[in-house]
Amino acid sequence: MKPLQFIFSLAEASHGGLAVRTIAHRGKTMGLIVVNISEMAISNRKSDVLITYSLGSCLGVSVYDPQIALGGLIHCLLPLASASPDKAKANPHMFVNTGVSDMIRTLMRMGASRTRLIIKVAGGGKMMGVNNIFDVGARNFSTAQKLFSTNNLTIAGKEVGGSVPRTLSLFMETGKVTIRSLGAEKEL
Amino acid sequence: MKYRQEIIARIGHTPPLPMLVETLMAAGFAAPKNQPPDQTAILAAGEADAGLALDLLELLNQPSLLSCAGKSPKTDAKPSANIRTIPDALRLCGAKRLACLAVCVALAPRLKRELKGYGMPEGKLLEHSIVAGLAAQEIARVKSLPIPEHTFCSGFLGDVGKTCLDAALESNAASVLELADSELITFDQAEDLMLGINHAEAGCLLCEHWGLPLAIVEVVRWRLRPDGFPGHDPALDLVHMGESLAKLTGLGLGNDGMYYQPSTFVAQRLRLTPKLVDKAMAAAVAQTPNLYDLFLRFGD
Repeated sequence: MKPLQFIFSLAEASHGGLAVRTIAHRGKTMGLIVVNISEMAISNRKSDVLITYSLGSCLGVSVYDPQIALGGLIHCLLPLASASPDKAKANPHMFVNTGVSDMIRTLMRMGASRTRLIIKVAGGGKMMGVNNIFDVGARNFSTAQKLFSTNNLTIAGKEVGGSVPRTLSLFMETGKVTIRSLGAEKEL
Repeated sequence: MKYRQEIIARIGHTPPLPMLVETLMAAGFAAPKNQPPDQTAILAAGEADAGLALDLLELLNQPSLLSCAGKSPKTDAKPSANIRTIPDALRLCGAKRLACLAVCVALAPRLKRELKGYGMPEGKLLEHSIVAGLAAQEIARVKSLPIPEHTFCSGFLGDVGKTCLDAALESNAASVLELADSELITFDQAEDLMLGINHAEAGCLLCEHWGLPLAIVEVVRWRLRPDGFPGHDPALDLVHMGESLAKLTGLGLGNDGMYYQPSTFVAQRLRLTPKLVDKAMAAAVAQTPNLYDLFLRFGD
């Protein structure tokens, strides 16, 4: 497959390009693709790392097909597009129900197989002592769970809830997914 | 308590705001009602600080901020006016609103700095400040409530106190967070216990030092604990909720994360629903990148 990488977002349209920079990681040169809030990135370049910072109540979802080393990462702000149809029309990746579906459809169009997809989820945090009104994180995660369940997809790894911000990374060469929070990093 | 005295002493040595800001604040907040602003003094101050005046005019031509002045109800609207001079701005926006936005422009460089103690790289506090101000306005919009003139500015300045506590927090951040986590208290309560002062109080003292109007000082002071405010202030409710939504977005979050607690009383008072919360968050986040790019340039 021809190497490719792209970010789908409003930012792409307005700023006209990929937010990619080259980094050195354990002696290798890698392309760091930053996925901002309400953005999605897809890549099959083994040297790429897809990364999204500052997941609060937002949900970060990584999807990877190990056989063809094709994967995607999305950073969704809110659960349902019905909350703001005009915003969803302009940018479906802001919402879990439209954004995650679009990412999986895109990956499958590009050759990924539903049975091989490795799905990992992080974020969905909350403020302290929240009532239902503010538990956007729980609603984000619940929407993702329903979506995956409806489509017979399973979540292979997750780290959700709590009040800490998280950074989620997907390493395209291996499919490794890491979570960094408050200076500590671990594999998901 | 040694940190408290040090921090308060440092606040007392903070440079004053530019003359244009002080002149606009005097016109907007200190002048007797029905007394027209002293245009000569404002013009002279604008000429003396042309860079700030130009930045301010650029900001005023942004659609989202114009709309909060009530000039346009739509957040997606294109700029409805081209404000070219400070007198034009004064006429179109009013002295209070102009003064508030001048404060934001003047303080953007301070909020742009890296805060090592809070684990915030350069620009992150500024980004958070913008989304907090916008979210406060958007809550009013989704509820069809009037937006007090100082709402954006008060939300924007909400975390300014972090710039005063950062040095002390550098060597204490882990302990403060551990305390909040283990005792199930908010980060600002843990700051109180570890440093003898929290960033909301420090922000309030800083705003007082700059001579900002009481309306803004009080919101900055109480926005993390609005239930303790003696009285009822619609701007405080909006800013408290705006700050909570800003934290949920994750934009500009530091090591303090979401270790804060939204007030159930304020949520009930505003009659917020999950759908309204989502709508306000979506609108605030959608407007943030353009304003952030603009604010990053201010003061350069």
